[in-house]
Amino acid sequence: MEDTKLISMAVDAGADYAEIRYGSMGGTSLEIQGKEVKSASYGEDGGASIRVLYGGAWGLYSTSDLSDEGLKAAMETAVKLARVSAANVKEKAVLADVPAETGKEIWAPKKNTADIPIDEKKELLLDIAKAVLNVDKIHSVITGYGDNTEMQHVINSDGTDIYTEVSRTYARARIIAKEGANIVGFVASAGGTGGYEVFDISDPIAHFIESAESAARILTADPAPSGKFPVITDPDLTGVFAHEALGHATEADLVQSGSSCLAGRLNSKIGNDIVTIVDDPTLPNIYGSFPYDAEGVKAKRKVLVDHGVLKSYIVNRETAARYGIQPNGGARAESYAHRPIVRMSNTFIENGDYSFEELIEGIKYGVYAKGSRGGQVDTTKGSFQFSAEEAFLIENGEITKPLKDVSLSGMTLEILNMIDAVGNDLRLSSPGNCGKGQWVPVSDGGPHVRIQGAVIGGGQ
Amino acid sequence: MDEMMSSAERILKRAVEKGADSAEVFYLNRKTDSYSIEKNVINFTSGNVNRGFGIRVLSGHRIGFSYATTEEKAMKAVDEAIRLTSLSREMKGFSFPAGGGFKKAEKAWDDRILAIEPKDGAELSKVMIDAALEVDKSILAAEGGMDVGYYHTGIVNSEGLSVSDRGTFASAGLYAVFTEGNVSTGEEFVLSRQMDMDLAEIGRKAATMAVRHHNPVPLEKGGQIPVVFANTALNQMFEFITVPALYGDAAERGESVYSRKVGEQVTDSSISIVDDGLMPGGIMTQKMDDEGVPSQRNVIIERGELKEFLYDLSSASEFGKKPTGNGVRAQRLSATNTFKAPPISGARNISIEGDAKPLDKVISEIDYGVLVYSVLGAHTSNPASGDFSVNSAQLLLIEKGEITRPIRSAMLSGNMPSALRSVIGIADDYKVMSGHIYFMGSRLPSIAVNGVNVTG
Repeated sequence: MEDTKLISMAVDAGADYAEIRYGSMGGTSLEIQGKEVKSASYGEDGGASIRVLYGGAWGLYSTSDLSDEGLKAAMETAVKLARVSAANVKEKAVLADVPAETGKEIWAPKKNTADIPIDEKKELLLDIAKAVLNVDKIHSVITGYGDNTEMQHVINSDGTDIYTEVSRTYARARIIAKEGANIVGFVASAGGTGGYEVFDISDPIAHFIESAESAARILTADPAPSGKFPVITDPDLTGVFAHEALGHATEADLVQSGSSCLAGRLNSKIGNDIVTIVDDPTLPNIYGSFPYDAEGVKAKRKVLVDHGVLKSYIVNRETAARYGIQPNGGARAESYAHRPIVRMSNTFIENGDYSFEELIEGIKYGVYAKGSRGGQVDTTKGSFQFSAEEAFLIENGEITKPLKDVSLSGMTLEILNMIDAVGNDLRLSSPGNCGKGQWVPVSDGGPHVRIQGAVIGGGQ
Repeated sequence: MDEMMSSAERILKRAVEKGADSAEVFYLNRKTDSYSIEKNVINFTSGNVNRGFGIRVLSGHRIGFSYATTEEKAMKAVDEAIRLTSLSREMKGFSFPAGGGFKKAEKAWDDRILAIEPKDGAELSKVMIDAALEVDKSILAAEGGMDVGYYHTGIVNSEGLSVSDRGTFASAGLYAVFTEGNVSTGEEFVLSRQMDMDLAEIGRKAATMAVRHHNPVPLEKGGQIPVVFANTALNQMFEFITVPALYGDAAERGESVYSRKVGEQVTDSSISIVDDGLMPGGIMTQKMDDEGVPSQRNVIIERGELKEFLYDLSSASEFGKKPTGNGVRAQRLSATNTFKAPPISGARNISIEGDAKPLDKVISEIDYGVLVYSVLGAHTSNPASGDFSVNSAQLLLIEKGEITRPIRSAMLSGNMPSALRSVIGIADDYKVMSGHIYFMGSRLPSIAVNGVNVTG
């Protein structure tokens, strides 16, 4: 059955809006333990979800059965489910107008991973493993490789019919360092959107060697002090800070449900003048990039915080209408089967004008925290936590000794005021995945940043 | 699901015809209906069918894996699986199980779940909202909802195994916000294999917790004080620290704090840690694991003494152990099983056993400490050492044996294996839960421990 006929079926049944989103994701993954392939896998998953807005509420049905009957049944079920929601809804959802997008946008990899023999991918992992195991005190390493191509085709009752393809390629390593009874686990990754060329853009082996050296250093590092100190975050950690401390709370679906501390604060000052925070899915080769979102809206660069002022939320079409924000392509879904929700892409703090030396020179006693082990936020209260991979003590403007197990915590509405200096060495970090009930690829970053009086939880 | 079993048999036949020395086909067909709550209403209703096949072949003692969503695509994916075997390591001694010894999984199916129509599901979800709103006029039922569904799964292999099982599941939860002044929040959820949950109670508990945490105070006196990890917080620590250290795969390679400690006292002698794939009503309860190994009860730590680790088929064959029924098909970053991933080790229904008493009683024995409901950043812990440094903004102060005030926020740092060596009490408030990022089923109580550093 033609897609337009299916859409008409829903509209004829009284739907305000109907959408078919086809999606597929397929690829190869490899995992190597030591020098041997532990698992090798290949596959493809695909299907469609049909989403209907009826009486101001949503119904969605997803299926891998793409036969005429399968799709027709899915459309009928989606309308039925939307009716159930509509019976309860109080504030009706309305969608912001967007230009109808048509055609194809294929982010073709320069080096198609399908053309690279699987033995070469295995060799890459073996080279990484060898280099990592060469580092003193490294006990073992598991390396992984993955490539995938994600297809999305969105057709809706507003005239959009847009087909996209994005490839992603990455390598990762789980490194174990050991000395006596001390043991440290360290996870690192490299890659981005694109094919095998992602490994030409930045050398994965050098990256993993650095990680291994960090892991070895942490083995004998002292636990970090606990308390309030000046902290300098490196670009990786600045990124997770931007993502956790601010980014999640700007997701407009959380604002709408009453779960964001940034509700009602658009155009108000929430941070120091020197703080500008951006979410940008249009950056070439960065892991969190995509051309069109899961509603078929063109992806856009968003300035979330401009010189300390909250300028925008990340929105889907529904929340764009609710908050009077220009739609900015913020709806993403883990797969065809998932509901599109508001998500980040590549989130970072913009450059300031301090050099690293200038950031550190005035600090009598503080912590330089490097690398991210991830983080988490309670957006309602605006409290967050994130952890550094490794850290160093700063004494009288100089780095003195390595520290381990450094976590930072704080409150969204306070911490951006506590950034008193921003470096000039912006860098986007390694591939990451962000979980909000669904997983999507993201990246984040920034320059070195100085935070006055961050709360550090260390082992001491 | 006879239809998928027949497909699986045909795919298996194809794999053997194509030259695999032996082969296995797994199938999964899961149907889920979801009712999502946003701001006091159910505004999104959805349905999803997830079905497909996982193909594992053995050729020259080397394993290859592929997956597909339909029989037609699976017939082609067989070739990929066979091709991938050339890359893999040799695994002499690995073979698929021939079957036998299965016991029925109890309380894993409930016809009432199948009978839930979309409008019933919406009504039931509304019960949670209404009960929450009744607690206080300033309560907002911000997010939550209900998932109900069922699955059919099965495994056939060329050793003659043909086994299948089915299950139902229902989960409901609510995240409530108390909107007066500085907002406070509360959360409650129930996971079950039966439609036996008290939905109004879920709503009330979430709302009551939000009210209870209103007007928090800073923690004035920190340091090494007793910490009660509520079952929900313990589940977070188990998922990211304790459970990964109990897999034979990590332990045998020296990557776990429990490596080479079988026979030693590794936790307080008041507790035992048990994983049971047949636990009646357990969230991952099923007659077999995802490799066709019979589910069984495994005592990992008995009264503090480390007895054994958990093994899937691969790790068992590599280290000369018996598989323990812990082969699960889970992707990285996925807490449920899938046809899309080859088997790895996973806890089915991990639990702590010991001399459990009411939570009030456990708290009454603490002079000064905290009760922690949830933590932020458990996944940032160091899994190899067990060191953690997490934040909590959902905790209550305990003074002279009683809960007195909510605390605004605290950092908790320590070492989980050490904390389990200093257990000072186990509560009897067992709760069925699952992992958030890693595959894990659990049924855990709240426990009180010493040795955690708490900073305000």
